Amino acid sequence: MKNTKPKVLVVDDDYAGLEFLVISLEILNYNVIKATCVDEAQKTILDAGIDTFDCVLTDYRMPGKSGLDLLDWLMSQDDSLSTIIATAEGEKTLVQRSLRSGAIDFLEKPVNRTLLKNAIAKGIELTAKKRSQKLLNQGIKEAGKMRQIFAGVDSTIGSLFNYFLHPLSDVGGDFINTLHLSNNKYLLILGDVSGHDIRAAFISAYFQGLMRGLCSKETPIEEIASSFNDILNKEWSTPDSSNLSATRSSLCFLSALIDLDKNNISLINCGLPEAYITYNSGNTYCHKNGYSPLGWIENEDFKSENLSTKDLSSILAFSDGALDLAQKLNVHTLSLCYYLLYTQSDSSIIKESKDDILAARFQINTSQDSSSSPHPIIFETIPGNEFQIIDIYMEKWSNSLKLIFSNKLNNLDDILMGCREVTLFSLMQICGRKSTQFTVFQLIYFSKNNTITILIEDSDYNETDLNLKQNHIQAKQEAISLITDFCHSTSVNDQTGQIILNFKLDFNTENQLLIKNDKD
Amino acid sequence: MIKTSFIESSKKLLIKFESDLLSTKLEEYSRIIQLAIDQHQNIQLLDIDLNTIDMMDSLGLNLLVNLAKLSSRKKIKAKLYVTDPTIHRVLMFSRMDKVIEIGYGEEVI
Repeated sequence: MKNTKPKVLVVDDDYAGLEFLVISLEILNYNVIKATCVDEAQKTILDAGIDTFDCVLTDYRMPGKSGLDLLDWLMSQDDSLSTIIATAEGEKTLVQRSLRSGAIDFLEKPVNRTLLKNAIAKGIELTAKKRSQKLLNQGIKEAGKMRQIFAGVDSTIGSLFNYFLHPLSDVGGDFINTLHLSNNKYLLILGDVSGHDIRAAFISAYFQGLMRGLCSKETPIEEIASSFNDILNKEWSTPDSSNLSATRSSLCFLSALIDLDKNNISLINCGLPEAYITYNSGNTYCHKNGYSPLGWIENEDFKSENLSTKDLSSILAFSDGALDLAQKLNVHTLSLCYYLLYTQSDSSIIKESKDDILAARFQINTSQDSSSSPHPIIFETIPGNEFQIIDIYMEKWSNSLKLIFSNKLNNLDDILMGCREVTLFSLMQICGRKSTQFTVFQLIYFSKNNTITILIEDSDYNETDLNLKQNHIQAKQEAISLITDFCHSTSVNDQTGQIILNFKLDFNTENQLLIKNDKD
Repeated sequence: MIKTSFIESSKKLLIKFESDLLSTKLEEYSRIIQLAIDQHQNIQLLDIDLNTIDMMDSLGLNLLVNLAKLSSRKKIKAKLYVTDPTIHRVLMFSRMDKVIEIGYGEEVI
């Protein structure tokens, strides 16, 4: 029958001292194994297996190898096994050294029975804790390896898809998954599960497996979301739910089911930041329709939004970690995404992040590649009253362009001047400085031609008073005529009232920006 | 850090988060909040002040949802206060407004 008593190895060359310790510990109901020297202790441990021992108590002074030699050896074999050193009175230096080397405690000889009892109990408890933590860490590492297997990015999607994923830990957090469902049908899933432990790893893998399996059988994504929401909700509504510190899980995800044959994208976003959808012209909009993360709200009625792919160029999505990092760097999140997806000449900026970072872009227009398609770099919706803080925006825009173009733009000041003038005009003259009126500022980069287009849109877009709209358009034309010297070309769309400025990028080196089309 | 105070006249419990709402601090935060809620059985209003935080992770958001659900069960009227635009954006795209009332740019009275 297996001995279930905690197993303690006692090592002492002094027979009387050894017997005293053995008897004292046996009375305390421990399974005590004895050795009279370090070599014998090592052999005993190797024969029985180090993980069968719960604590080691060793004398320091022994002929040949000392207790510290045994401690060093034990630490190299299994640093979770607690070791206690018994020393003669007054050996302070030795005590300090043994504690530094990993001993958990020391006992002065002659050993006091109460102190012995407490030290051994503490040692056994610590060994159990360390071993349990070790097992957990090992499990997390294994789960991390499994994540690499489950979290698939289908290689057949190839150049249509670019992504950047920087996980902070082995498991949990952000994930990305793609599925090539048929010839021209793709599923893209970005997600973020709360926590970075085995529970998070399990939820993440289960969700991704469920999505891949059910989507390949054409189950509607709404049904999958609803079913998974029910699963997570059960945990939130347990009798333990009044306990604030009880761990509960939530899962954010954005899925895009892209069917190029049917010219349709089916989008659903549960708790991730808004996706940005860009047209072939460069015009971009922020897709705001969304739900809470799965787990938060019971019986949520999920509905995907269907968009036509006609004239669409790309879709860009990212996790909240990208938002945080962009704020920290004082750049626009879209600029950061572009940097992470295509340039990334300096990876040290990632170290600033306290969260996972995920960014992904899907090329919807298959006749373009990432170099010939437009890239939104800045997208801001600015209330009219924020004309007063235009310089705060300017600083962020300047940092954004410097990040992407590595400080190599000769005409950066011209571009910024153009941005400032037209934005101020729109905020002050069209929005009337009102907090309820908005100017949408877009800066789009066309890497193939090395040009930047700035688009300024305001309430004129939906203005029904045609006389007012015409007056505004005329005023805008006059305003941009003052900055034509800075720009390659300027115009005002007479249908939408949108101001358009084009800049040809002027680099101060012969090398233009290198674009990395494919992820390694 | 986190501070709690109870205003007897309005039966209002105020919870002020003074540092980031991250998973590493949640156990401590939960303990302090739980203690404050248990100490005052007659709470009618709960104001959660996020005006001085810069960052919040997914487990931090879960704590707020937990707190909102607990308030709802106890029939306490809860409200979140936030001034940082990025934190507000996170609350909006995660649709926290469906779980708890949010006061953006408002001062906690």
